[in-house]
Amino acid sequence: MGKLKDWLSGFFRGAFSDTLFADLEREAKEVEEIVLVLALLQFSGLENPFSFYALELLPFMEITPYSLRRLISKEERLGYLFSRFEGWA
Amino acid sequence: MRLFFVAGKGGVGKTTVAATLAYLLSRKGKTALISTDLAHSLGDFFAMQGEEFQVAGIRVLQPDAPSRLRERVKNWEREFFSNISPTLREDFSPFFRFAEKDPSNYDLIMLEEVKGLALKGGQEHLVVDSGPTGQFLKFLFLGDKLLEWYRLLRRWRRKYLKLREMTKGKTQDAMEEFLEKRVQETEAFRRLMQGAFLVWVTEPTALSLRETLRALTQIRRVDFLVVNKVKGEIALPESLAKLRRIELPLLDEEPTFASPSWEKIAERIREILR
Repeated sequence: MGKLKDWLSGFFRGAFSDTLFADLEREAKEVEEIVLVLALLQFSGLENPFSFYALELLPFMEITPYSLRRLISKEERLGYLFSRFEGWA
Repeated sequence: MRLFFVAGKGGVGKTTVAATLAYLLSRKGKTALISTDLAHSLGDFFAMQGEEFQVAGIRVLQPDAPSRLRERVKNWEREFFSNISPTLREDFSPFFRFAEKDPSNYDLIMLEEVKGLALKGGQEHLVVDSGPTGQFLKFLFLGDKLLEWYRLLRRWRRKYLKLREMTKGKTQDAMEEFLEKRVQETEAFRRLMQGAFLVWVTEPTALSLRETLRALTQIRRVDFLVVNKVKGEIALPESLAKLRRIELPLLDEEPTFASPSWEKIAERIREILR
């Protein structure tokens, strides 16, 4: 009975719970990158009137060479950003 | 705390009006006078030197934008570089170098100076001797735009935190706290700006009046209008003789409009220029 319980809980975790968590984490990572892009628009080649204030925000961001490269080179980041951007005026 | 912005076209006498206003206000309570003009002349007016001095009971500040900018960027750079890898340091260094030399940041530095002084308190009146019209208009709208940007960042950061909370549990976030602080501070400053008095200075010349008309139509408000240099003689070069037709009748006009509304002033200027 105990073995069946372990197997069922493992199955449940593998089939639903872990997938859900992985999705949530991927979504969180993407939203975190949106904050990065919004703060550092100038790195994507867009004009940012507040690039000056963005420098103040840098210490709060988890910036890695990888994320920086993505920010600079990946055009689809901008497409993704603007497709979700509600407050842009 | 009450804010007074003294604005107008370059050379109309904003500094003289701002200094006089500050002097009058200083009799009623503690008063500070700050120049946001990049080519400030408060020191020349009071025959004093330095970025800050006390004169006739008024605390006078004329921040040197380039040096304040360098100082601020250096501090941010130190803070950021103390905690990142050397590779990133190389990548980011040019942005700090560029920011500290970028003249478009001077207006932001001036906004920070006024905001800091206004929110810190310590005086009952704060008179701002603004830069010429273009610089002043930019200053007026910068605060709102900055607030929008901070709010947007905060909203997305909160979204991220909510998602992270589902997988990793609730944690404190320094960035959200920082953004919250900045939003609140910028909102407080905006409230002060909304309750501020706008003193518009102009002179009876066609160029100055036209600029006043354009600016008032954009700002759509004014609390005091000072028509300066009315009684003095206006020496015009021959090439501007055409303007004289507009200016001469003005010399007999009353120097100020009582309790003006921006629409009335705009209408009056249109009549004069017609």
